[in-house]
Amino acid sequence: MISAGDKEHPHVHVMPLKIYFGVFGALIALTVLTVSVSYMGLGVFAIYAAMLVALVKGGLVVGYFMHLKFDTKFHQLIFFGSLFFMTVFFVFVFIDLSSRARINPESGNYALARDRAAKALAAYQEKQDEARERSQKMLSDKVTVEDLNKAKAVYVSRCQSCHGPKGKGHGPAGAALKPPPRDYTDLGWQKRTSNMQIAKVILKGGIGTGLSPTMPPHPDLRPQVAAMVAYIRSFGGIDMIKKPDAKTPDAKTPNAKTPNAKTPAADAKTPAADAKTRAADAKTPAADAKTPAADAKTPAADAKTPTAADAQKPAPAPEK
Amino acid sequence: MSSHDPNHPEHLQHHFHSSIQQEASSKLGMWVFLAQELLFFSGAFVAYAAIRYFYPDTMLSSHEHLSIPMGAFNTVVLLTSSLTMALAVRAAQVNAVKSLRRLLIWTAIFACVFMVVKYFEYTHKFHDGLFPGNHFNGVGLLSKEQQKYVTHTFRLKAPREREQVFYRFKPGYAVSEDAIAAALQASKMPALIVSRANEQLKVSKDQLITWMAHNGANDQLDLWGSTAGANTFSVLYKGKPHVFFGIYFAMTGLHGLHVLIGIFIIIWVYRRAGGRYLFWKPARESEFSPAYYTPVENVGLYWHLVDLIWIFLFPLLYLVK
Repeated sequence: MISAGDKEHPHVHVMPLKIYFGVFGALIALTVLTVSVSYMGLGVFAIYAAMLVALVKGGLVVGYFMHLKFDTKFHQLIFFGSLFFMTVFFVFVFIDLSSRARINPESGNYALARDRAAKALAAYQEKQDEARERSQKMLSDKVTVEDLNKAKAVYVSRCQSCHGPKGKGHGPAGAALKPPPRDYTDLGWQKRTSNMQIAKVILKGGIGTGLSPTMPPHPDLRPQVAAMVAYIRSFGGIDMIKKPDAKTPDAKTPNAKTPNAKTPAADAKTPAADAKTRAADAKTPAADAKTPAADAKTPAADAKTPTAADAQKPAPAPEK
Repeated sequence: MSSHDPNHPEHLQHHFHSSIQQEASSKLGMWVFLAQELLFFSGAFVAYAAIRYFYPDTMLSSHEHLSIPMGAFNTVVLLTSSLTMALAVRAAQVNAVKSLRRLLIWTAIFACVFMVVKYFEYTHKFHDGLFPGNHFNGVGLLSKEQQKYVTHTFRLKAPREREQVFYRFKPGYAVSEDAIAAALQASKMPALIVSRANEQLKVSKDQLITWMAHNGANDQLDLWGSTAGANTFSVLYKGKPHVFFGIYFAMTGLHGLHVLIGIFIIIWVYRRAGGRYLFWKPARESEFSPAYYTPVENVGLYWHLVDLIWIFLFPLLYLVK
C-alpha cells in the first residue's frame, strides 16, 4: 500500500499548455475589458460590472491556475466554505449599513442623510423665496410708479434742502447740521436699516426715534410713507418695485431708479396693483383685474359685503 | 529509515505513512491557510465597503490620485507572473527541471517589477502628502511655487476641525485664496478654501498657540499674534481623502506584504529546485520530481491567491468612477 502510491503519483494532472495560455489570454482580455468599462460612465452599475469581471477572472485563476477544478472535493469544500463565510460576513455588514439610517438618520447612511439635507435645504430656500416674494408683492401693491413720482415731489419740496438732491446729505441747509443728515447712498446703512425704521423716522422725526432733533416729524405723510421709503431706498440702488428675481440692482446710481428709467417688468405690474386699489376703494367687482393674485384678494376684502358674490363672478373673465 | 529504501524516499517525513498522505496533508494545510487568507482579506474588503457606503464621494474624488495605467500595468505583470508560476508547477509535474528553475526566476522577477511600480506609486503619494488619517496634508497638491513657501502643515485635534488642513506659508509670502484654489483644482482634488487665519477661521488663537508650543515654534508666536497669521490657510478637502488613503494603504500595503513574502518563498523553492540564488553558491540537484513537488505547488497556490486578491483590489481602488 505504501509503495503503490509512490511509483505513480495519482494526483498529477498535467494540463495541456494551450489551456494555460488560453486562460492567460482570457485574463488579459478581461483586464482590458474592465479598464475600458470603467471609462464608460455606467454610474452605480460600474461597480457591479467591475465585480462581475473580477469574479470571472478570479474563477479562471482558482479553477485553472490553482487547479481547483481538478482538485479533490475536500479542497473545493474548504475553498467554497471560506467563500460562504465571507458572504455571511458581507451580507450582515450590508444589512447593518443599509438599515442604519432608519434608526438614526444622523449617523447612518451617508447618501440618505445627504439627500435629506438637500431636500431640507430646497424646502428652506423655497420658503425664503416665498417670503421674499410676499414682501416684495406687498410693497409693489403699495408703491406704484405714480406713487414714487409723488414721493419724489414731496422729497424735493420737503427733504432736499437738507438731504440733498442725490440723497447724500449734502443739501445746502444740511451742511451746517451736526450730526449731518443721513447719507442714503451708504449701502451699509441701507443694508442694516429696515423699511419700518425709515418709515418711523419720517413719521416721528429725529426726536421720536432718538436721532438728530433737527429731523422734523412728518405725520401727514402716513398715507404715502411706503412710497417715501421706496424713494429713499432708490438712492441706495434698491428697487422696491422690481420683481424678486432681480437680487442685485442693475444700476448703482439713483438716477437710474427714477420712474423714467423703469423697466417694463415694473410697468407691467402697475395696472394690476392699480386695479386692486380701485377695487378695494370702490368696493366694486374688479372687472379689469389682470392678475389672479389681485382677484384672490378682492373677495376676501369684500367678504362681509353682499357684493362678494358679484365680485367673484367677473374674475375669470380676463382669463378667457 | 534509509534514504535508499524505495518505500521511504528522501522527501517522505517519518510521521507520514506515504508520499500520498504527506502530499494530501500538506495541500490540505495549504488550502486551509488560503481559506484563512481569504477571510483575512475579506475584513479589509468589508471595511472598504463600509467606507464606500458612508462616504460615496470619498471614493469618487480620491481615486483620481491613483494612476490607472500603473495599476493596469501591475495587473498585467501579476497575471503574467501567475502564468509563469502555473507553468512552473507544470514543469515540475513533467520533470522539466531547467524550465522549472527558469519559470520560478521569471515569477520572482515579475513580482519584483510589481513591487518597483508599487514603490513609485507610493513615493508619489508620499510626495503629495496623501497620507492616511491625521497624517494627510496634501501639500503636494499646491503649486510648485507655493510648496517652496510652505513652512508647516497641520491639523487640529478638535473633531469638527479635523477635516481641515492648515497650510502655513513663510511670512511675507502673500498667498491668495484664488491661487491655492487654482492649484488644488489642477490637482483634481476637490477642496474648499476655508479662510485665512486672521479672518473668520474657526480656530481660536489659543488652539494655535497650543499647537505652536507643541511643535517648538515659540519664536514664531509673535508672528501669530501681530499679523495673526495672514499667511496661513486652511483647506477643507471634500470627500474625506484621508479616509480613502487609509483604506488604500491598508489594502495595498497588506497585499504588497504578501507579494514581498512571495518573492522570498519563490526564491526558496527555486533554491530547492537546485537553482543558484547567489552565483558563487554551488548548484545542487533538484529535490523535486513528478513524485514530489508539493512545495512548488503550494508556493504556486499562495502566489495565485496573491494574484486573486489583486484582481479584486485593482477595480475597487483604481477604477471606481
